[in-house]
Amino acid sequence: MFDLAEVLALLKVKLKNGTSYLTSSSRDRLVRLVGYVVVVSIFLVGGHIFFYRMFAYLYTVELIGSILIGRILDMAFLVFLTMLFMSNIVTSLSTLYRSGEVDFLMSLPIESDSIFVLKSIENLAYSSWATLIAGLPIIVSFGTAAHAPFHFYPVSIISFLLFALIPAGCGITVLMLLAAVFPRIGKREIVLILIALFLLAAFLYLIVGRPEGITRLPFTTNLHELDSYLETLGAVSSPFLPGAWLSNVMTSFTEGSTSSTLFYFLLLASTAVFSITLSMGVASRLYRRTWTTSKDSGGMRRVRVHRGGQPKSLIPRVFGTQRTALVEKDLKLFFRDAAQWSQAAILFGLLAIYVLSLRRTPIYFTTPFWRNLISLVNLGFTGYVFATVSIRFVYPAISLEGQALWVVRSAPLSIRDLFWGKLILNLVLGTVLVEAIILASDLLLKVDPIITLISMVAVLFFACSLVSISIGFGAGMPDLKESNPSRIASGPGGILAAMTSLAYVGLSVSIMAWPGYAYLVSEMSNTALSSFPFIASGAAFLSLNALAIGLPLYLGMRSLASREI
Amino acid sequence: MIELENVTKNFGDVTAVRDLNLSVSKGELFGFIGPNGAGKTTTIKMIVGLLRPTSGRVTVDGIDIRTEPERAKSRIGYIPDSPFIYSSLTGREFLWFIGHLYRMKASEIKDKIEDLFEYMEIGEWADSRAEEYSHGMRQKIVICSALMHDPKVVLVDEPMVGLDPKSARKVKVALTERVENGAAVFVSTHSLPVAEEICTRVGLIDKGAMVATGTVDEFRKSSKRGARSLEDIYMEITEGG
Repeated sequence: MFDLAEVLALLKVKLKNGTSYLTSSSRDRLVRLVGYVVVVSIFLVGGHIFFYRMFAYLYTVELIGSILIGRILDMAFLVFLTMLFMSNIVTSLSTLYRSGEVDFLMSLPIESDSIFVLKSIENLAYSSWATLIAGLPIIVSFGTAAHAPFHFYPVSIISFLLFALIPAGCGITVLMLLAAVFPRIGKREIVLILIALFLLAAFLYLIVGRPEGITRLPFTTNLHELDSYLETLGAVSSPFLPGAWLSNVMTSFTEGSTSSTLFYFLLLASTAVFSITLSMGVASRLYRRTWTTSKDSGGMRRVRVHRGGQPKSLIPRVFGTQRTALVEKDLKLFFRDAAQWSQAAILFGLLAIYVLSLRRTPIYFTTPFWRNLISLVNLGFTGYVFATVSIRFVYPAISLEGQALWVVRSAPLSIRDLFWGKLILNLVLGTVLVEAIILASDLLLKVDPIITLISMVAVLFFACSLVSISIGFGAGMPDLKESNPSRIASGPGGILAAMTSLAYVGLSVSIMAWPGYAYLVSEMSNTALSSFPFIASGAAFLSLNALAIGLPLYLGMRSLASREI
Repeated sequence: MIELENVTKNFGDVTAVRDLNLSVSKGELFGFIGPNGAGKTTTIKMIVGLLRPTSGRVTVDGIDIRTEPERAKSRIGYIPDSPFIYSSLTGREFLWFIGHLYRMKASEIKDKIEDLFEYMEIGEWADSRAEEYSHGMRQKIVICSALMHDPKVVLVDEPMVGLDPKSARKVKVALTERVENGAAVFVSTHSLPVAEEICTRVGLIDKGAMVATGTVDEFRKSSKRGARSLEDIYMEITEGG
């Protein structure tokens, strides 16, 4: 059993450490803190506006509006539950087993149960803060749109916190059981298990949950079809999962059903208590033992990559020895980091599903107008997807040099060459990715070949600009102390780069839509088509790209060159 | 080979190095000693180009590190106090990477790696990932990486930290051999016996300023207390007596 006084004393030290970090007079820290506050505020306000407009609109839709809201909440919380469960498993490996602090605490006369409770609290904070922030605008927007009374908010937020405790307890329990069965388990194995679980969950969701029902709007006057559609919407997709309970607490509250609200609230609370108690029970039997065995086997574990001679060259040395060496090094580091390649694999899997889903384009989108409009939307979506990919995988490129940055900075290598090394790899891979998406999707959408060609040229510019924005911002605001690329990408610099990238994509697509709009207007009004929109749009597009490529790279290079390490 | 002219480095309001003038010649093994926070690491980082002096000039082999950093760095082998390397690369892969950064030929890199790995007794660890290395093993790999391109100037920040006695001995011999072959070696260390044993000249830095420079013999002769060892001399100078 853990000692509450011990845990509180240790927590006090940690809080003091955190407080002194926040209140220190370092300008860099202050700038970072202000950056975080600004970015989180923008996210909260932006999220609130988006969800409020959506919920407020849906409430005006008779019959299906409120049912759709319930389904949206269900789905959102199901996604949160999955993310929380997975992130708790991954982060608890670091916080409970691979932390230097645990090594130190285990050497002190402290109960291992107390250490477990302390580190579990830390783990909960690490793995859940982003999801909690993401959930807040949904709760507040729903409450505002439903004109909920003031006490709806504390009840919903407490329910949300209870909801977060459930995957936290389960995730940690699963990790301890895995560590007991596989003492040598590492991040790589955990990620593989999670991929398997994710695929299984996705399969079950697609087969059992049949989510397509929500998007298959009945363009019909047939009452029977309308009835069956409403039935699909009304069915609670996952009555045994906490996401649906949280959703029910919120919807029951706004509908004035106190007994239902109380029932689901108590269901969340009792399951949270059970989940945490279960993890503590398992920990008192397994934590110290699995921690010790993980240390024993960790010392014996040896990964032998290659024996003797020159390591195999992964790419031809056409870009010069130094740049090629940088590219090869980055490729090796990428493929040896399970978190990197596994997330890339999941993302590419989802992209493949998106492209293949375009085969089922509804019949009423066959006219040239609709096909070309859809190709423009598809172009925007490709840009949006690549912006996301670029922030997640390209933005951390400079930061991932980390504390080994001295290696390249003390070598006879210019900052320009370092940038080229990063650009070459990401540009080649990025271009292949976006060209493949746009070509496959335009072919499936049967878009006009000329439009497909224009789209292919446009996404080439997208790749160059978005990679430049990511590299430039990544060099301008590197986080050299963080080794987790996801955390680097979700920092203030990453979010700023993401906002810039999305603004770039939005602006590019708007510029490209202009000639199409002019063509449509001339067709409808039977007037001659002017060449001005085409020339002006081309010039604006080229200028925007010159700016998006040149400015971030120039500023990033200058910032990195002046950075002292 | 290494020239520092009126070099000052400020971090905000704190002056880490104050108006430092220093010259280390070819064939000299210069020991830079001083208490914690005296400015030793800051000085080395300014020579290697990782930090920029607030004022003053640093040249390596006659090349200004600020105006021609790549040329100057190609002459330097740098061993930092904390041997951070890419944890997913093996020691051998790391050295190939370094060899390419220094534009060495493949045959040259291969031979150098074999020689250095044998000398430093890296053994079977050469093909294991750095994430499995001990601090000492990482330090040995970094030492190999600094010496593989036969630098004219070797900058070493705390060379013996984490090394076992045999490896420490080998590093001392390797540095001495470099000096005999005409390189200039600049060693920052807390270990006074090491400085006394291998350095041809010693500089004592305190609170960012050079307090004294000379050979150990010169210090002995000028000692008011008749100090014999570098440790006694160090105490006499730092305690102001």
